[in-house]
Amino acid sequence: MKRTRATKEESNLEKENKDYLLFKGCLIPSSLPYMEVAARRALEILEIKITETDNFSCCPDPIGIKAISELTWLSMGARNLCIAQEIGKDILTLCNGCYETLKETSHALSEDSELLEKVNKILLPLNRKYEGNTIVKHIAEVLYLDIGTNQITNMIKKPLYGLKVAAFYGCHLVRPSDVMNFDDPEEPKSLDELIVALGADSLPRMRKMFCCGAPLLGVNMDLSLNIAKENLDNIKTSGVDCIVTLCPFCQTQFDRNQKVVERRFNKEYNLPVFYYPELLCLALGVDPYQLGFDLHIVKVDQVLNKIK
Amino acid sequence: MEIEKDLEKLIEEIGGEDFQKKVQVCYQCGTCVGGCPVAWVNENFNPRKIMLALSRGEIDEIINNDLLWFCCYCHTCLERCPQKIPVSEIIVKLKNIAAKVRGIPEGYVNELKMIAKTGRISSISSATERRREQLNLPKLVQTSVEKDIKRILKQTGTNLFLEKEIKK
Repeated sequence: MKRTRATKEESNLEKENKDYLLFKGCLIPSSLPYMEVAARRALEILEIKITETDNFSCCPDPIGIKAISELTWLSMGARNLCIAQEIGKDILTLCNGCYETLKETSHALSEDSELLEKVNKILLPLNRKYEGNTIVKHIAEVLYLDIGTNQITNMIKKPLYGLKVAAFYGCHLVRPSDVMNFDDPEEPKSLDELIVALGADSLPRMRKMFCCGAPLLGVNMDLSLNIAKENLDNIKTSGVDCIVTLCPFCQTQFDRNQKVVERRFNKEYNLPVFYYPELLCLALGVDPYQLGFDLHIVKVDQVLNKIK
Repeated sequence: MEIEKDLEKLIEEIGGEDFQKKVQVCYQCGTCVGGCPVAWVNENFNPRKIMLALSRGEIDEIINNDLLWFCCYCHTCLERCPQKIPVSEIIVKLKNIAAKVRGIPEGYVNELKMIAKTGRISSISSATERRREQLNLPKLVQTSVEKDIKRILKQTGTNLFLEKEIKK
């Protein structure tokens, strides 16, 4: 599967462009603020500037809203892209869902002028007009391509030696690959390399790129939890100390719902779940007390003790 | 304004014959099923059968089956299809039709209600504000995005899902 993707070398040329418009999304600021804290601290230490606005709506959700009406999904997405266009900065998302919606909307409307016209007609009463080609990046992409793993390794103060990690990429970071165009859809390496850059080990496992199951929480709880269980079984078997995610939906599914799966299937996993920027902050020497670890459902103490 | 329920018109909206032609190259190898996380845990969900029914023009049968809503939209099928059929994207379009003809799952009705009310899918409670303050996060300012969002929902007809008890 040969695809053209941005390489580390290419991205180094853009190193000056380190000022992004932060797209916080819905779930992180309201339900998982510890993820926002870690992302902000990591960006600050790595000197990635961010600009903020309160005018964004939900991205919107690429599962539910797109399933109801693709046109509504595109129009709400385009409204958000218009705001970035007015401010004149590239978007940085903290969530795989926001990443897919905004990047795919930008892609679809830049490729299809008829569709762009249709969406702009809907935006007309809002006094907005989308021009196309807004650049949308996920925080993992910024860390991997803008900063790079060598630079991260150079900056860490407390390497996470001996920590065994399960990398959970999440579907929409890499799929559909012709649109996301960031990492391989079947065998991605960015998150594994970002984990290794911190001194930790990223272990292989069965069905690594399986969906977390969170998209089905609002449709069929049984299905959603069965998919979560399949992942948790494979992760546990791989012998890791913890799971690392890049998305608030995967994070919720494995942290909050881990206990639900344990009760329902009479299992015990005891797998702490970290958002990658949390591990990054720990390695960069941020005081764990500033990171809100008490908000995790699965206690993280065993991991914190291991990397002390 | 009413929700368009005429199947022929709805198929026309998403590209008519061109839409159905996309799946005519499907040779039923089942690669989509092999990689599908939903099929892994529920053998009744089968994207291969959805593609087969679509190539035969049996759209009414597809949309009358609630299994359609089980697709978790992970795009594994789209990536792996040897005939490059965008299976997951085709299923989204079929869901759009099913939504108009038969309604949407209750979970999505609730999500849509929240979006119409606040512009976002989760609300900011006083507990959230307290937690954010403890974590030294900036205060969340709730600007009135919902006015814009309500307009978009109205223009695209999606507000009609909220006006009627259209759910399963």
